[in-house]
Amino acid sequence: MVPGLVEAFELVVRQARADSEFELLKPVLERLVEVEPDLYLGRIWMARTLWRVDPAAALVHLEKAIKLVSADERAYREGLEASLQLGDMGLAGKYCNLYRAAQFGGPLPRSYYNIFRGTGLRRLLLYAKTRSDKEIFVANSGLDLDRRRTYVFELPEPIQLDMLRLQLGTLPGLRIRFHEVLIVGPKQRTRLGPSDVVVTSRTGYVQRTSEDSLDILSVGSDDEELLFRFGGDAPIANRVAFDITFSRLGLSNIPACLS
Amino acid sequence: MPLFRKQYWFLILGIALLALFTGGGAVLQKDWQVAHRSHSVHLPSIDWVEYHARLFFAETKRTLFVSRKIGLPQVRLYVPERAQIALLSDIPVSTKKWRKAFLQTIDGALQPVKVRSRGDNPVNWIFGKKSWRVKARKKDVKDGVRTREYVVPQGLPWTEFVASLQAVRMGLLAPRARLVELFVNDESSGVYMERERLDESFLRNAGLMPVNLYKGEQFNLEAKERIDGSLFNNPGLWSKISVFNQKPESDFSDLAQFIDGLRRAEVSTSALQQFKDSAPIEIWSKFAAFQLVGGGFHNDWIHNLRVAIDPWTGYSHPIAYDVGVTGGPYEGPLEFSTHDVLRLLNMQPEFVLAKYREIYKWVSANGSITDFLEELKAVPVALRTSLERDIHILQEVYAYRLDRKFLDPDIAAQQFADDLSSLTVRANSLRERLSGRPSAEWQSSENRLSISIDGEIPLGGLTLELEELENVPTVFADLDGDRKFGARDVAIPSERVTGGLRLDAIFLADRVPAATRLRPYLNHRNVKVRETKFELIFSRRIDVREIRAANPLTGVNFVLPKGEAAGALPTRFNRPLVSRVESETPILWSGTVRIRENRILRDPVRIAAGTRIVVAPGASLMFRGKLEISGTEGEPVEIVAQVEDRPWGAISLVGPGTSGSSLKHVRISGGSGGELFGIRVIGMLSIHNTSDILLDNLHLSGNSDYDDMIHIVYGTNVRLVDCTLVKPKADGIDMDISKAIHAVGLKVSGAGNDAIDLMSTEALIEGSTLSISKDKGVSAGEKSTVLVVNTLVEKNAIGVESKDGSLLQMLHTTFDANAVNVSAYKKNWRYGAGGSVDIRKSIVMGKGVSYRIKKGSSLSIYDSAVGSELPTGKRIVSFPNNSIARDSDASGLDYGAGLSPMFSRLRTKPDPRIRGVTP
Repeated sequence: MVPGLVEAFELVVRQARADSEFELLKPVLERLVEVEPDLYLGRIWMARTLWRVDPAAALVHLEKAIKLVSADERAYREGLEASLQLGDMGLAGKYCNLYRAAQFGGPLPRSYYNIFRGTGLRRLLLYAKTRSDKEIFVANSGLDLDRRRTYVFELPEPIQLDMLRLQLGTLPGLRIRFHEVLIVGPKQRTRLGPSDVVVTSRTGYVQRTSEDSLDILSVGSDDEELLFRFGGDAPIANRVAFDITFSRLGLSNIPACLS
Repeated sequence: MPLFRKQYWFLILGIALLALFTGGGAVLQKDWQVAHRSHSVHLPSIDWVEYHARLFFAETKRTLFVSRKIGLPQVRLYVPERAQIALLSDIPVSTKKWRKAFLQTIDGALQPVKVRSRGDNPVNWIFGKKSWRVKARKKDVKDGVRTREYVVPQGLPWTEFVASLQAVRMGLLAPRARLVELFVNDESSGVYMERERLDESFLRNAGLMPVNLYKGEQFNLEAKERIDGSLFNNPGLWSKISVFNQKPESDFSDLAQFIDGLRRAEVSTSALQQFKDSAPIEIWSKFAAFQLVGGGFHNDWIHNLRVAIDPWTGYSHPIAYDVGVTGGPYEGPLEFSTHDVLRLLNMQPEFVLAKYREIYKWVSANGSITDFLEELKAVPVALRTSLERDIHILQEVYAYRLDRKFLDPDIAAQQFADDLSSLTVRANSLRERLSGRPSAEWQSSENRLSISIDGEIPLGGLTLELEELENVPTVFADLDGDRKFGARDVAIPSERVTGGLRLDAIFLADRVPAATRLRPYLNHRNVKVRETKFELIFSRRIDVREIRAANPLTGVNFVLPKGEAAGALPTRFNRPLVSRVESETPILWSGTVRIRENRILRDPVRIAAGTRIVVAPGASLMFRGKLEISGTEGEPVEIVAQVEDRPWGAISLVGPGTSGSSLKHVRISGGSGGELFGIRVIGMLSIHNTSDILLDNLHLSGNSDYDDMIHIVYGTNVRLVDCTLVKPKADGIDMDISKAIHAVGLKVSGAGNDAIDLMSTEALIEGSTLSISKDKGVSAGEKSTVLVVNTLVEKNAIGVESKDGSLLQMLHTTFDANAVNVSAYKKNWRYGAGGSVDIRKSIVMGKGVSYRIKKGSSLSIYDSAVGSELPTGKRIVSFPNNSIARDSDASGLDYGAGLSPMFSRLRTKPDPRIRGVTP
């Protein structure tokens, strides 16, 4: 019963805009939170309903929501509104700082699974196909925010790669700064920088920020997919190492919130 | 007159319809309760009419024909009908409320207990056989267990019991369990597994400090809606079932740090090292081995996870919980990973090797499985008798589609034996698999040797037959492929042996996280073996004639074939495993050393006499390798605060790597404590989880903020010689769960709390002075065993105190001017007893209260001067050889019966002719 109930609430809450609508929603959301205190969406909705009239009370719900799923941006968006309503810029900055570093958990769609079941800020996957059309999926679960890192994908056997397909089980508002990729094979190493590849994405927008890097701004709420096409002979690889910096985009133009 | 009038037919029809509607209503109600009152529960559709009809038939048969012979140990629970109804009155909420009941003790008495249903799945309470949680009164606690659970099986009633016992025998943390026959209100409910509840008592009984014990369930009723279910990706999905009492219950920072470390370990070498500190290979490899040899893969990424995180060691402990025996040949991958922790660990060669060794220890010809199976050999006979009365096994047919043949007790009991046999089959299949020859080959040219390895079996014992062996070359594994020895490369120890050059290294093929199917469970389950090539570079040209190698698990040798030696460069996790080599040049400190921030030192450290270590406010030093401080009387080593009145953190020795450390002539002042790298440090000098430590001529003073001046936890064989502790902030020396502690010539004065505080510790204190403590001179609690000899205990609020099953034996001790000399009482119900104090050849003087012995505790005094009057009372045994006067001449030469075995370890034997402190 609860999953259906949550879905119905979601349908209604996402359409509410006017204060009068939130006023109408408040009693039923209170009941929802009472019945399902660990429903983080309920907490976020409750906060969305409250921040206009009782921002301090909204913060209590947000604390719980963040504890349940710290990576989900929605709680911080409401937290920002509540803080600004309280006139507390320090608190607003705190929410932004928390948001930028938070990586625990993530939402799970009601009626389908994403590539890693739910989304979050942790999991990456390289998809490749052998000459015999065998599909290979190689995982890396170490997405690290705000640090330039090398994400290594070890292929179980040498595979000729005509392009690189990187799958990300990530959340919206993610900046993916691509620096380079190293393809290591039994006989050669191929290093490809932003100028050597054509990058496309399922939901992201591409921005050239410097000679050495390329930004992809990912905005989809489901999985992201980045495709890297390159010219020349397709190299044979048993290791692909992406050099990438992931960071979350800012939620506001408050200095602490700008990414 | 017709025999059957029309009205009769209507009456019969009416009754039939009424019965139909009533019965149908009952069925609907039951089905509603099972499938629609709780979300996220999964049960198949159940034919309730058939189930109840069969149950009725079985019950009738049992009443008429079945014997009352005792089979398994019987547990008799008496639950008033009213309580049973109340438990189901508003499911699932009502099942969690405690109700009054009674439990029959061994002597037949009825002991008041509280009961409630256990579990979220309706199968635990909707059928005739219910899961129970039974809580005794604190005063009735037995074997340290207050709450026991009687678990409805998922299938046959012993699978979890066998697996739990197997986990315990493999050295894992698991609740103690046994098979019993449970009677509720004198009616057999059948065969159950009785197990202790996971709580603080469980941790204490397992020899752990009361730390955070986490429960991870994203399943059934406990599933949190619309959240990605991966437990090791989100501390928000976990709850606490036991709380570390030095932190708030809402504090999940240790778990958060663990999960965050797991993520970062995948991309950062330093994070990986720290993660390995928190997920120790010797613990987790046992768990992974247990899963393979028969524990099954029930503890997975979304449920059945129980993990204790110990802030004193920094270790996480997986607990084998809700496991089920899984036998038969194993053909799946050996690195099958049920969750993200095991996935990461399964990519580490040292983990894989340790796991294989654990498996091999269990399954080898005379492995531990033999004793384990022998232990269970007698079970089927008793089980058969109890199964005869277990009519409720029927519910397993409906709830879990158990084969109906198991309703026959002979077949079911035989299945127990068959399950054990299936464990043997599994053991054989694993042994055979691990006993094979490693799939490897070699190629050599110039000064290089390529070793390629594929498959699961490790390769070791490499002996190279060389053309020339006069100069033993140095060797390293070139892991980054640059042909130069660098930070990532590994030096391979080599030695000349008969027949060639032996390389002391074990090689494993890469384990990589890859799958050929996207779903299900891509994120953790798939760790595949990849052909890997190790390039070994020698310091000179080598001409290899032949290479002999071995399977390091079996030791069986073979000739390694020469071949192409293909394969990928090792992953960043993979490297040859070499036995730990002590660094030839440890870190040396001398002169003035400034510590500006928290530092963790993994390599051995030597500190020269006269060194002055100046520590910045809040900064701490954690040693994880051996520490040798070589101060002298004339040139002590000093550890001091950089800024007066602004305390630094702590000096800590953490983990087995520090074993053998010695600190001589060190003056430490101005520190406090702290929390660093996931480890809580509450002593200015802290010694955690290590052994064979010498503290010689230490002088400590001026600690603040945190409690202890010296804190020893999980320590073994720690010797303190001539140490002086001046005005500790709270406890002078706090010892927790430690053994073979030996203090000689200790002086503690002016402690803000106890001079010496012991919890579950075995300690010998001799030739010491414990004075002016605001609380106790010696406080022995939670089953400690302490021998104090030749010691002056003076001017303390309480001289000595013994609590909670502790024994404090005082020999040749002089008590003087304490407000209370001796105290004993029961403080913590978990230990089921008060304290005992045993005084011999001592002098107990002073104007205050001499003895305060409370209920459940005892005092014995032998050949001592006992104060102004002979102590009396039912808890006191005063031997006739005691005297009132301060008479320092003993009445005899003997010490009486029951002298502590620690007496033989005394450095200086006291003079038996004298009472009190001997010169």
